[in-house]
Amino acid sequence: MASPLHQFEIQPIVPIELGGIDISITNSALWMAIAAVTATAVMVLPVRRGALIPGRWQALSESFYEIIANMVRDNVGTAGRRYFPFVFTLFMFVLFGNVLGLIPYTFTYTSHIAVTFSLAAFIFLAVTAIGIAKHGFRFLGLFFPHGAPAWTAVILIPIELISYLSRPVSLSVRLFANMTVGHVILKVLGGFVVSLGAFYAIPGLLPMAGLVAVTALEVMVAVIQAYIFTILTCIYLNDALHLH
Amino acid sequence: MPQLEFHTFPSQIFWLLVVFVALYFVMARLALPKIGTVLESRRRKIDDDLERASAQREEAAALLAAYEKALAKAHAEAKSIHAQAHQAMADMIARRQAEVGARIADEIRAAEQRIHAAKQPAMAELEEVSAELVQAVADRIAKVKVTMTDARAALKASGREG
Repeated sequence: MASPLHQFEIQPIVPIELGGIDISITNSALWMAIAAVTATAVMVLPVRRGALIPGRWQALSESFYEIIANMVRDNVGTAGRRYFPFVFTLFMFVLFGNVLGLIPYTFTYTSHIAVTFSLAAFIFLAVTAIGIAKHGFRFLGLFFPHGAPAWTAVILIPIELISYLSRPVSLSVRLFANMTVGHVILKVLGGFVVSLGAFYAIPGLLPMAGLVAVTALEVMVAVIQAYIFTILTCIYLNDALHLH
Repeated sequence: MPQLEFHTFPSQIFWLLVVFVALYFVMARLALPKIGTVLESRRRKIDDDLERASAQREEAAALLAAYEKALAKAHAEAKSIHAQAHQAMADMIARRQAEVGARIADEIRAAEQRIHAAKQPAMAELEEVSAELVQAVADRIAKVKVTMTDARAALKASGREG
């Protein structure tokens, strides 16, 4: 039986090399593309006619739109309106990566730290740049709570600074770890089911029941992690736009 | 752990960038504006419909008020017509009663006059007969010749005593 980590292996499909750097089309790239196409299909096809009374698929597209639009409005306010397309794309990219990854034999690109950290690092840099562009020197006020006694700066500034700098790490590791661990558990339980014989022996039924339950849990985790990733981005954006 | 095989990072990051940017443009230029206009037009339609419904409700309320006003007016008119008719009837009855009463009174008065007129000559005649009777009685019993004038005076005097 293959190792539980085998599912995370990146396999080239079309080897490409550019200036000595390997940028092959891999299973990861393939599933990114599939997720993007699926997300596009979900968001574009049902609203072609723009029916006044939405059908099921149009209601789904509209729900996605409204969930993220409300999230941006509630967490960032009207100033966040310009960043809505980015936040929306981020949500769809992570959500479809997580959910499609749960289908057996697919690949979960969000289980790779390279992907999640790239996203988190971009968000971190962009949010910092927006904050500095908007507030200039006053952006540093983010590291010292307004109204705290001056002498507490010695403690508070390092704490705030470290917590700020650890944002991209926590943001990316949370998603990567959740996806990786979930898939490992599914794989291990699946291995028990096969080795104990789910279909002809009683002992295999136990891991089978567990597998069903954990699969349901993982569907929930896939959605929730996409939601958390997106809402934290909104919160960081809000900090940069409005300080605190 | 495959996640830490660093030689796969450039490819992952490169395709992440490509796919994410492509998805961003599709969402920002195509999907989101379309859904935004659909939602907006629906919201406007609902607002319009609600507005029209409330306008129609107000119109209906105004019509109802006008109807009730007209009804109240008609009611009042009917009442006044009824009162007028009642009054006219009462007046007529009173007038007729007065007329009839007056006519009856006239007739009674005329009858009384007729009775009075008939009574006068009868009384005169009775007086005459009485006086002649007195003359005759006086002549037969007392052998006294009494003139008509004295007989009448005697009758009157006895009539005053009696």
